[in-house]
Amino acid sequence: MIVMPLLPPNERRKILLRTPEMFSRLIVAGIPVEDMLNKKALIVGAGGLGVIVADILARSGIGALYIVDRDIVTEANFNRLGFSRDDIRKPKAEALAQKIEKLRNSETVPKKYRIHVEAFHEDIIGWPKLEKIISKVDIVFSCLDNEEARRELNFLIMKLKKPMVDGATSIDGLSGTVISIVPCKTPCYECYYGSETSVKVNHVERIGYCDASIATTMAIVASIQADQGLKILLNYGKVLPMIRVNLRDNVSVLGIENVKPRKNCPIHRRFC
Amino acid sequence: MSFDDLLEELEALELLLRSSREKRGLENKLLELYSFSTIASPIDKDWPERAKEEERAFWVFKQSKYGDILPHFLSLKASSQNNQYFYVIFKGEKIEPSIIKVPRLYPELPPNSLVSINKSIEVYTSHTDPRKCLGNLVKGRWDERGRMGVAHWLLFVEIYLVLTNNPVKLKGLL
Repeated sequence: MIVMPLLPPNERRKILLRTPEMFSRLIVAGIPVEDMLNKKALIVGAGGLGVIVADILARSGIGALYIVDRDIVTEANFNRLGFSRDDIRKPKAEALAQKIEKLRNSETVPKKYRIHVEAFHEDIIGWPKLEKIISKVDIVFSCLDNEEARRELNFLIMKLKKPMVDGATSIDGLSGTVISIVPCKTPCYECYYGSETSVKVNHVERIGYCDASIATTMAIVASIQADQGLKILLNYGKVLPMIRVNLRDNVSVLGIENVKPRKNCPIHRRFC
Repeated sequence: MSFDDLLEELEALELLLRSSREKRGLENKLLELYSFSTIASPIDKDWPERAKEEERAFWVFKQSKYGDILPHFLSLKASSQNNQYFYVIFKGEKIEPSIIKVPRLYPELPPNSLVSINKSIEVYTSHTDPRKCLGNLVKGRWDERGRMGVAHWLLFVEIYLVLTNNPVKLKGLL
C-alpha cells in the first residue's frame, strides 16, 4: 500500500515558514506537526522500549506525554539506550520526563510547541489513577516487561476503547513483536491466548520470566512501535495487527495482517 | 564432611533438582494443601467471597499438617478499598507491613508483586531484574483455572527467600 502524503506538497512551504526549526524536517516529510501538538499519549514502562518510543513521539511533536514506570534507574539499564550515570537511583519515569522536557521545553521554543509531560513512579497493577489517565489520552504504548501488566492494560484500553501499541522482545532478547490494537476492530492482546487463536505471539509464555534485553532488538521494536502509533494518531498508511522482528539467525521484519479476534476471547465478548 | 557424606549430599541434591522439574507433581501437591472453591477475579461480583476465602487459605497454610509453611508472613488481609490489594505482615529482620498486588485477571494470572513499606522485600512474578523475579519458580506451576491463590504464591516467595538467603554454591564443591 502506498503511504499517502499527509500534508499536500504545496502547503508544506507555507507551514514551514511558521514552524520552529526543530520540526522543519517533519513538515518537509509531510507530517502535520500542528495536529501532533493536539495528541496525547500514555507510555507504560520507561525501559529499553519506552525511552525510545517517548523520544520519537516527542521529536515528532506530540503535545502531551504521560509516563508510568514502577522502577528506578540502575546500572543494569545501561545495556539499553536512554539512561546515563546521572540518572542512577532516579525513578525511570521521572528521569525520562526530564530528558523529554529538556528537549522540547526550551525558552527558544514558542509555548504552542512545548510538551506537557507527567511522570508517575507507580506499578500499574491496581493503580486507581490509571483508568483516568487512559481515558484522556489518544493512544497507549505498552512498553512493559511482564504479561500480567500487559493484560491489565489490555483490559482497560478495551474498556475505554483506546488504541494501544504493544512492544515486546523475546526471552533471549533476539526477536520481538509489535502488536497494534484498535479496540473491536483488530484482535486485542487477549485474543492471542487460548486454543482458538489464529496466531500466537512468541512471548505469550513469558509469565514468570526474567528476560534478557539487547539494545539492537529493543531499538528496532520500539521504532516500529512508534511508527505504528504515529500512523494510528495521524490516520495515514497501514496499521498491521502484528509485526515480528527477528535478529536471531538473519534479519527479518514480518508484517502479519491476516489475524482476527478470537471467537471465545473473554475481553472481546465483554467490551465489543 | 567425609567423602561419603559429600556423595550423599550430592545425591540428595540431584533428587531435589529432579523433583523440582516435575512441575505437575508439585502443582498437585500445592493443590492438595488447599484448592479454592470460589473462582472469581477482582472485577467479578463474587470477589468479596473469594477475598474471604483467600484469608482462610492463608491460615490453612499457617496451620498445615507440615506445620507453619509460611513462616515469613504473619497475617493476610484483603483491602476493603482496592480489590487488587492484599495487606500482609512480612517478618524478615524486621516486621514490616507489605502489599501484594493482583492483576484484574487474577486468579487465572498469578499475583504480580509483593513489596514491603521499606522495600526490604520486593518480589515480582516477572521482572527484568532476576534478583527480584520469581521466574521459573512460578512458571508452569500456577493453576490457570483459579484454584491457587495468594497463599500458594506466598509459598513460592518462601522458596525464593530460602534460595536467596542460602544460595547453593556448586562451584565451591567442584
